[in-house]
Amino acid sequence: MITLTDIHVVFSPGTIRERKALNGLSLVIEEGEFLTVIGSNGAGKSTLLNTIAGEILPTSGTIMIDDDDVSQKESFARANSVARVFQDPLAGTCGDLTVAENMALATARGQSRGFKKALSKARRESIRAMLSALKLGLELRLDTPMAALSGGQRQAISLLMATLSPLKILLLDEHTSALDPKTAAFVMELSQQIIREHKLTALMVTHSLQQALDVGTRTVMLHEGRVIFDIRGEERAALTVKDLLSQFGKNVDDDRLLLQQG
Amino acid sequence: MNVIQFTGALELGLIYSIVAMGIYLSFRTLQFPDLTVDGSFPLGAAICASCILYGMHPLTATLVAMLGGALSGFITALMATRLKMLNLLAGILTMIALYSINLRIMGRPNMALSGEKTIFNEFFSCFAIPSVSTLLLPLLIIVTIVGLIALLFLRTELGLGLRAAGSNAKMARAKGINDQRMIQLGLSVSNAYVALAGALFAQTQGFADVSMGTGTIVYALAAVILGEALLPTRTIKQALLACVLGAILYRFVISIALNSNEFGLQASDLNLVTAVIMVLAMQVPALKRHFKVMN
Repeated sequence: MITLTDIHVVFSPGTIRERKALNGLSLVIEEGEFLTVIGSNGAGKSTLLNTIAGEILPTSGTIMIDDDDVSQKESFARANSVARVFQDPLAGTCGDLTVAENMALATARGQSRGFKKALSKARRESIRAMLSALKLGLELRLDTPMAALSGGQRQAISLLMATLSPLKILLLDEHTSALDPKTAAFVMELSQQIIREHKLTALMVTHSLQQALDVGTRTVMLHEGRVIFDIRGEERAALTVKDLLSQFGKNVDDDRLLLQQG
Repeated sequence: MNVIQFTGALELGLIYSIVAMGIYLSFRTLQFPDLTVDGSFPLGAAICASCILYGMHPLTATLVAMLGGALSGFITALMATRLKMLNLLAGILTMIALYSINLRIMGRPNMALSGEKTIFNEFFSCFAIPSVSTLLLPLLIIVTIVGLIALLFLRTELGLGLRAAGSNAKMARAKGINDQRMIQLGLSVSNAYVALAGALFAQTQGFADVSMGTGTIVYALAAVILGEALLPTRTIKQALLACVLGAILYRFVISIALNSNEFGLQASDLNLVTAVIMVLAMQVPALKRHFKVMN
């Protein structure tokens, strides 16, 4: 269970550029929930994600992962319970390292790294087996530098990498938005499959209202750094994009949100 | 080029190949332009020479020199990571500080080691090639060992973490790697290598001098770039080999350019020749592409 209590994040405090990205946000994410997060630009979606991951430390407020207070822990110190897939396919993997080396990095996520060989024969074989399950032919390209792969392939590997070691929450940051429609659909399908199979707790930021309702078990809308709408269960199943828009149209001033309704 | 010049270039090339491997670690693996090396190379020489003259066993002296180098790299890394200083500036400050420190260590601007015990006359006298070189085979053995250690290290989980931190820090953090600590570790190892080269230089050339470090970073970069331009560097093994061969090749080119009467160059033209070689080497990838397209 992830518990965020009264989180404030202020950028450049005390200056003319001061901006409150999160403004007293509270949120409880139950084990096994799959949250979709929507909101206009500047609503605080990415900041929320970065705060859970530890890339941004909150100005005030607490973040608990189960009974562990991680509020002021840096991202590498909570990597044993948080995995994430970035929006930019280049960001989630190391382009200079090979496919196998990237996978090996993820196997040790959150563990201390010593002088053991990173790519033993046994590990190479298990990596090969996992990659072949993706059916992208990547099992034949273990020693290809990651930079030579397409964006979709890199996102698929990023997802796979997230599941290689135990985690409490998977963070997806608009992870299909930099891909072409066909690849985006594939990566989305793969995400759902992985979350289902591994019974993961996940939080996905999306810009598509339709996707936000179609995918996952709960939807949260942010506005000005706060949760203004939180829906799940049957109520959510009955909700349409139109309802969302008419109810919260005044907050949905983002063209991207509106354009995708077509 | 006569035999003495030939073996001399080869020996110096082997010594500087260790610097090149250190630079590969900081500059290529961590993408950290570390200017500490201009100070840690003479530091290694100064510590090693002083310790030997003090009566220490040459092997221990060499190891102490490496430790000193590691410490200087660690200090640069601390300034860059903890004090959030610009990488270049952190290295430059350590470098100029080391100039004073090296003078303190030696107590004078230079030190002669002639007739003293060195690791070469202690351990390696059986590897001498009569009437050619007493140093060539020992240096080759040392470079091989040092290169293997670098290779094996970069293949461990820790080494992989270090490479990830240099390649994509945000992703590395997301995988639980403390990227700041990786920079500290990497620069320590890198400068330990550079100081080892300094210690070997002092023991082979028979002296340590406070100004001997000037240009070390440029020579090492020239070696790395020359190696990368001419050899494949897809794997770490290839990249490290390219460092060694690049360093040797660079010494040969310099030696030929400065020793052949046809070019009319003299020893003081070294830096100009180095600059020209680096510019030319950096054009090789573009030329390769050009010819590939033409075919």
